[in-house]
Amino acid sequence: MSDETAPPRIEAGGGVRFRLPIYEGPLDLLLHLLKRAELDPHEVTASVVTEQYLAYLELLDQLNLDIAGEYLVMAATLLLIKSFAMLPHPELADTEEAEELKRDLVARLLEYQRYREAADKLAGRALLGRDVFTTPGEQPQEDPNAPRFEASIFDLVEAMGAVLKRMADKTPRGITLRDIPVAECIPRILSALEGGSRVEFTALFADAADRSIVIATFMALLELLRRREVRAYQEVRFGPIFLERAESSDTAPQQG
Amino acid sequence: MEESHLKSILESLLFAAGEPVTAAKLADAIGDVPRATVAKALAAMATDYAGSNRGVVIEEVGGGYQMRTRKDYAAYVRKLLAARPPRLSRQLLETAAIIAYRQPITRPEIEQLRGVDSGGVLETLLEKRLIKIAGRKEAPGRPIIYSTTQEFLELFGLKDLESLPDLSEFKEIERAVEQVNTPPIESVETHPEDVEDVEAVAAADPPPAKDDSESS
Repeated sequence: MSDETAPPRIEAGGGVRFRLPIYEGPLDLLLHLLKRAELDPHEVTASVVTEQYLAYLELLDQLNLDIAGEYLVMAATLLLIKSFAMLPHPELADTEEAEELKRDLVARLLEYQRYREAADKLAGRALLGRDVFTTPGEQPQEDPNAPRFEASIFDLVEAMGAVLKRMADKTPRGITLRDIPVAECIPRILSALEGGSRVEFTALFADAADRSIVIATFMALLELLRRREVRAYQEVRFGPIFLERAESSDTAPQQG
Repeated sequence: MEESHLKSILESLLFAAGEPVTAAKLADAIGDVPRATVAKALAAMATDYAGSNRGVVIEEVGGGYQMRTRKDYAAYVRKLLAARPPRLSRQLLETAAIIAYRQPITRPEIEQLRGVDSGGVLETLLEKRLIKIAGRKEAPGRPIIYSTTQEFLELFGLKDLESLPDLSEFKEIERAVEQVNTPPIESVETHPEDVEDVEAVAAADPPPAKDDSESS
């Protein structure tokens, strides 16, 4: 695939560059292409599907996006099946192998489609925390032994992303180079948590003026979590993240 | 004990518990009422609540009974609690579905079904406690096997794994599709000009990456 063979219509796309639909893998992409072409998985080897599949990879390449190996393996499979079909004398081709490749691919697509539909059905159910709610049971704030969900680093980073996104939405663009020592942010966090009070994660950044402060505060928080001086937890799964002082005297790890 | 009295007690227990509670555990708390009587009363209550215009319902979730707000009022509750709904990406749902239906299942098996590396999404599912490591498979390399959790059932409001949406429906669809399509596939192969037509139409189509409101 050289650049010259790229269909010009993709280059004309202009505005779509950064709104690439995210496919969850080659099977997902193939299902999408089949749906657009109003074909079903049994027709996955139709030329239109192979061509559009390759065009999509080409586009990823032009955008300098990494193409996962799985996509390339699938491309090779599609081309192999196609090449067998194109041989002038069918008896020269290993039609048995081509048929088998195609059967396998169709079977995988059907199977995958089945779980995709199951996932859609699950997503359409009344979700706890979105559509239905329960009583909190025993009061988690009062009872130190009540179950809590330790906020993971993923939860924190996700919450951080939300904070930064909100900032990006409201602050004017402009680059200011500032050095905010992380160490300076640590006492600020600790004083906010003084006297056993808990603070919601986002409240920590409520009065931060720019990204550098937000990031420095976040780094400081991570440091405090690492030192086990602060605990991050959720009362309900996927709920807001709360921060509180940990009893550093008995929970501090020996090796810091 | 009078039935109405029993139901009142059960109502208070379910309200206070919050989480799903089994009939056995409720019977234990009450003490002198047989489990079967409790189960019967619970089933009757579930029907009563569902049929009335109460703001809460009693549902069978994850092996027990649970009091939950009625779905119709989700918007009000969300606003009051300033609740952020769970974020479930497509790949997360897809992987959770595969594990739910095929458990216990190993990572290579999941990746074979999805066609992509699934390490990251498995990590997230574990973090969200929707799946758990159920042990190791007695196979070369003894790979880790995954299964869904009680939290998974609670999140999706499922009584048990048997109440997952039926996959056999898809089998029927597949069979129907197969019957419909066997002849057309042959005709495409015997008449190459059909293929040309399809390609011509496709060329007029926007490229696959063009935003067509499906960008998720």
